Amino acid sequence: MARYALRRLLFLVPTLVGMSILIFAMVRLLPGDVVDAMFTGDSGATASAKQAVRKALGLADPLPVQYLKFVGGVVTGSLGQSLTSGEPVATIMTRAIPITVELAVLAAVTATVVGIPLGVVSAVRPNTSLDFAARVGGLIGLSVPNFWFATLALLATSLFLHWIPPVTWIPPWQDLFGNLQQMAIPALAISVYLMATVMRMTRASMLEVLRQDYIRTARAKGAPSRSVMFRHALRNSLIPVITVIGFQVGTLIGGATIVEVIFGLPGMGYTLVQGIFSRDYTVIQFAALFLASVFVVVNLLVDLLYGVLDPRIEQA
Amino acid sequence: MVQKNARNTSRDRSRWTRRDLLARAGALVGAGLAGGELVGRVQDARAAETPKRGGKITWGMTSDPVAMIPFGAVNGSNFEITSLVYESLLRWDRRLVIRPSLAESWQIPDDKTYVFKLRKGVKFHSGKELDSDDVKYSLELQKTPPPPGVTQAFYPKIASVVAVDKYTVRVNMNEPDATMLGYLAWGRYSGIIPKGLYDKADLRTHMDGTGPFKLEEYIPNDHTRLSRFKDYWQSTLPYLDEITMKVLLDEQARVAALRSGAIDGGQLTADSAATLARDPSLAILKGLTAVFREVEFAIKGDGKPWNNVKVRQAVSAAINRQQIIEKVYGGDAVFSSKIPQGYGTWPLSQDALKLKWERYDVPKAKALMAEAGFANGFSVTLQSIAHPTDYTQNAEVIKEQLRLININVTVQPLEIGTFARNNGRGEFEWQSTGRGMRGDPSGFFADFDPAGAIYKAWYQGGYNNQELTDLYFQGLHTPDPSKRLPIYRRLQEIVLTEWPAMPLVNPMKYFVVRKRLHGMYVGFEDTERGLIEAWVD
Repeated sequence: MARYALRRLLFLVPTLVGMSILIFAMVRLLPGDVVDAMFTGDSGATASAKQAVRKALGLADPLPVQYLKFVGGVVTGSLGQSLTSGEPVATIMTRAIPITVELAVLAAVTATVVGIPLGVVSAVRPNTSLDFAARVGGLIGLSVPNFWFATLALLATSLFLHWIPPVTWIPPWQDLFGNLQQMAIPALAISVYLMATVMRMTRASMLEVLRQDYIRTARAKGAPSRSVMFRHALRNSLIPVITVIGFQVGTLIGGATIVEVIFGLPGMGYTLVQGIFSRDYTVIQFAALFLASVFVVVNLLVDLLYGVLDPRIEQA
Repeated sequence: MVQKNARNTSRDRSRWTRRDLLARAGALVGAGLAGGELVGRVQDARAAETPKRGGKITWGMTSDPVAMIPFGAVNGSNFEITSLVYESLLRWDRRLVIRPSLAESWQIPDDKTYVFKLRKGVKFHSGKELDSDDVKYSLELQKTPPPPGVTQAFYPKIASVVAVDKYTVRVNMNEPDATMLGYLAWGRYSGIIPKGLYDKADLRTHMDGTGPFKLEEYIPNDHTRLSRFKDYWQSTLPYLDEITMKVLLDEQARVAALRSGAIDGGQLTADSAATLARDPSLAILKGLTAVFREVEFAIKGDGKPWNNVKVRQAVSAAINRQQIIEKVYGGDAVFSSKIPQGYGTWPLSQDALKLKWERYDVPKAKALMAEAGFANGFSVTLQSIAHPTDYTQNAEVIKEQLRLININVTVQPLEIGTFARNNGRGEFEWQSTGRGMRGDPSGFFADFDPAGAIYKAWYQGGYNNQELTDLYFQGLHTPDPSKRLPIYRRLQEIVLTEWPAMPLVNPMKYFVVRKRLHGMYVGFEDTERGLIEAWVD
């Protein structure tokens, strides 16, 4: 297990290097840079004034130099400053990351806590009205885009209850209840898709496992039905479910972007979108690298978790 | 500025449709224009009520201020905050008439000298008293603002600033520069800060002005909290104790926040404002701003049809601006000259624009196309800003209208960063865009300064009019407003004859506020400066 984990960890290095190159290049392939976005033609700045700003921001350096500065910043932890506000990128990240992580965690927990039991019930009592309701609900959850759900939830509560979550960001360490009030609807909005996926995946996987020989054996040897369900069936059917949740955590963080914008939550997605509009390279690079790294690390954790659930995998 | 308020006619509000609302608004716009009053008029039935002091509000901003720097910020959202915290020597009233602010009075002994007498006893938020050294420090620093501020083309031709005594400042100019007073009154790049402040504090997050509100807290991408400055020199202002400026990028989020009362006001589009017209707890305020809509040509002498003035004239004659106003802005916009409607007494009148300069005349357009040798038309790509959507909608309407003179337009909506890049480099045939506020009318013609970056990008080698250039500089060097007026009339006439750029319309901007908020108005310079005079029940 340890060797397997180490090997997987080593694989992270080339992945991260490749990602950093891709991100660096893609950011610069966007038409226009921060100086173009800043001046938007209407301020009548001369070409030399623009060039002076580029120079001051380090954008006049050759691309390899800029790339090495970027990577150097990642390695040494000095992330530099936002090109538009001059705020240290580290400060921006420390402010934004907890918001997005909290959103994603709340969404993943909600999806798991609701999705898995629904899937199990649906599989254990197939073709009942409960199963039918769960399946239709799942289909709707899969089809409804989260931004639509978010906007609808916001408009519905404002219209009928004359209430929406507090608009200014409340850190949980200041007021946990206020914070949860604020996060509930956005977290629910982004969890709907995952919830539906988890439910469907649990159901399908559970149905398949229940047909396996070892389940019949377990039953035949007289194991209590609760034990068959949870020890034999559920545990074995969770592997694909965990894969899905794992893969979706990355999507959750990415999918949080538009929900963050709708609810005015200054998280990573929001920061990234703002950065892209203003061509704030330093912010985009680190925000994108962070999101991509989360994706990679979560995938790694999922792989390692397989080993725990199914000991055969680590030997492979 | 024409301002209309839904609460005036509350009796029949329940029967209003969007069309009614917009039609009424249109009638009011017309009335305002006929009266020749475009700026400063507030049609609020309760405007006569005595304002009350106290109370807190939350205002929905459409974008983050990014940095709180006093000068050199290019983004307009920075000025939405700084215009409440920093002040300059002069200020504009709602009609853009220049008034004293930190300077109590000023004299212009000759064309190249300004002497300002400072108001005594004005305090900065830090408690320090304003004196001439602060003014000298600030005016000098504005020339090349420390980063992330950037040098602005708007800085007047100031040679030196002399602190004559504690309350007297003399500004010597390199050459007569008529933009000086407007630059100070606008305040966008001319805020006054205490001497040496940049060495003591990080002005991206720290503010120390003389304005009615002081900064309490700035959480980037989330909110800015301002509180009433108790020692403000205008002792009656402001009325509000605290303002939280919350960034809500999403329009629907602002709608929901308004409905629920989470925010007390914010900017919305005409469509969203109309959907809220029936909400009894909300009032709709509107007014013109300097952000008029325009289409730009790249005229570079490269053989494109644009280079022919007759083609440009034909295009303008074939554009039905009234139809744009009705289709895109629900009737809530006016014709725009190169100086936008509402900019004091400078722009040409609506009648002159409608009946003469921007008259819709398809037969004439066809004749001009034939004379230019393009009776069979040609194809052109019109780039437009994708968001806000009206730039692209304008482009789509124009596309339909130009079919009549056989011009085949392809509309290409672009994300703002890409659009800005093409704009700055002149990499377009045609662009549907918006222009912004200027401290002085000359600013609306700065594109035609042959030494300017815009001229080089858009017009170099293709468009030149010596009279336009000469008048531009003459206007800059003529400080006397009465002598300047004919110059700017003529400049507008030249642009509206030769169309090196094509002003279209100037739409209304909407603020929707909760009824507890009184005294708010849409500032022509596109800020929330009305919050200084706003108050709550």
